[in-house]
Amino acid sequence: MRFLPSTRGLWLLTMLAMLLTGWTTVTPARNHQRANFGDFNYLQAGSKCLIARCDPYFYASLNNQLAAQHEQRVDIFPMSPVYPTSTLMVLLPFAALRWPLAALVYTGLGGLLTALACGLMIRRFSLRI
Amino acid sequence: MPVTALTALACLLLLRDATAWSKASDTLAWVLLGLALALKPQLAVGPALVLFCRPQTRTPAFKSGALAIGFLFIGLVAYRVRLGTFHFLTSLRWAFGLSVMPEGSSDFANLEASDFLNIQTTFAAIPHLSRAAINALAWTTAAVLAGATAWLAARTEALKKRPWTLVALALAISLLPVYHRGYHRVSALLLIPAAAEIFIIRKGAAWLYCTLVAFWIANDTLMSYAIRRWRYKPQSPAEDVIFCLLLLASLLWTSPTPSLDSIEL
Repeated sequence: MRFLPSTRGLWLLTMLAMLLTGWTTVTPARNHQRANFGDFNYLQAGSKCLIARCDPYFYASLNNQLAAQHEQRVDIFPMSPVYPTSTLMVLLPFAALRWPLAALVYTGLGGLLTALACGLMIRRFSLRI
Repeated sequence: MPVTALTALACLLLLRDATAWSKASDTLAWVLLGLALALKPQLAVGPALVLFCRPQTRTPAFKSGALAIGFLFIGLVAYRVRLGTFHFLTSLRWAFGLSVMPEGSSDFANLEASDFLNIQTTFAAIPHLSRAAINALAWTTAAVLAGATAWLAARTEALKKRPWTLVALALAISLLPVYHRGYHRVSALLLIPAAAEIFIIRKGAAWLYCTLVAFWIANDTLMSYAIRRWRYKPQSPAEDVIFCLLLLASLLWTSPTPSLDSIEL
């Protein structure tokens, strides 16, 4: 299916929406000094904790684990770890990386996947901009 | 979290015409969807449910669910057996209560209240409404929309002809009753393709839909940065309901042309 040039405006709007989506994705990485990569901070710490036999759902254990590894991060608050254990399992490979390399690799991977999905969608729906 | 990208890639691989199907892409699709479900189930569960309801994509969707549950089970066993603590259960209770509890998303005292996407934030604007009533209204809204979607899907063969519209509906509805933050608007990646299906039927409606979705995404920027000083404005979840209603209405319109999948690209 090919959309005619007369529908260009519709797809420009769509692209605007996609760009805004991209922007909201990039923002957390841009502000990482303040936000410290959001939830990934304690999730990666949780994966490390699971390997080191400490409790990934107890904030004090997570903070102790980070302190033991001399990593400079934002403190993890009580009740922060709310993701299921499946999340920690999927993120286990990132436990092997040091901070902030793990977060940068993870964010980069997320960005690449998002770009790939956007590109394939444009191809799938034959968008003409 | 690249949950939306993983889900979108899985949907792109699975929602194709039969001639483009291959075993390798099928396997890749269910692995990607499984990873998305394992990473953040509340974001991927809607599209996964739609894929499960379609006979053509039922098997890969089932495998995805099994993969995610496998990760969850192994993680639980590793956690429980090795540590033997109950902090996980406490966190789980907190996660479920987060949408309505004090200092949760529907609490006006929360300075980040404008950033939440769940419909509790809108109902909390009604004076003298208890938290239980807010929660009940939120779940009722989501249930009514989900019921209407299921009914219309069965009546209009939308699973076959309008899969992207159903993916968009499932995703938008799943955002409503449970704690979701502004950054979950990245899920718009899965809302956009529905516009292509609506466009075939009514161009004007496709325009309206794209505009609503674009404003819904832009709210994050506007609310978080430009008009934050105006304090709490719970319009985002209400906007979600509006474009859900538009998508539902579009299912009733008769398509003058065949579905996207049956058109040769």
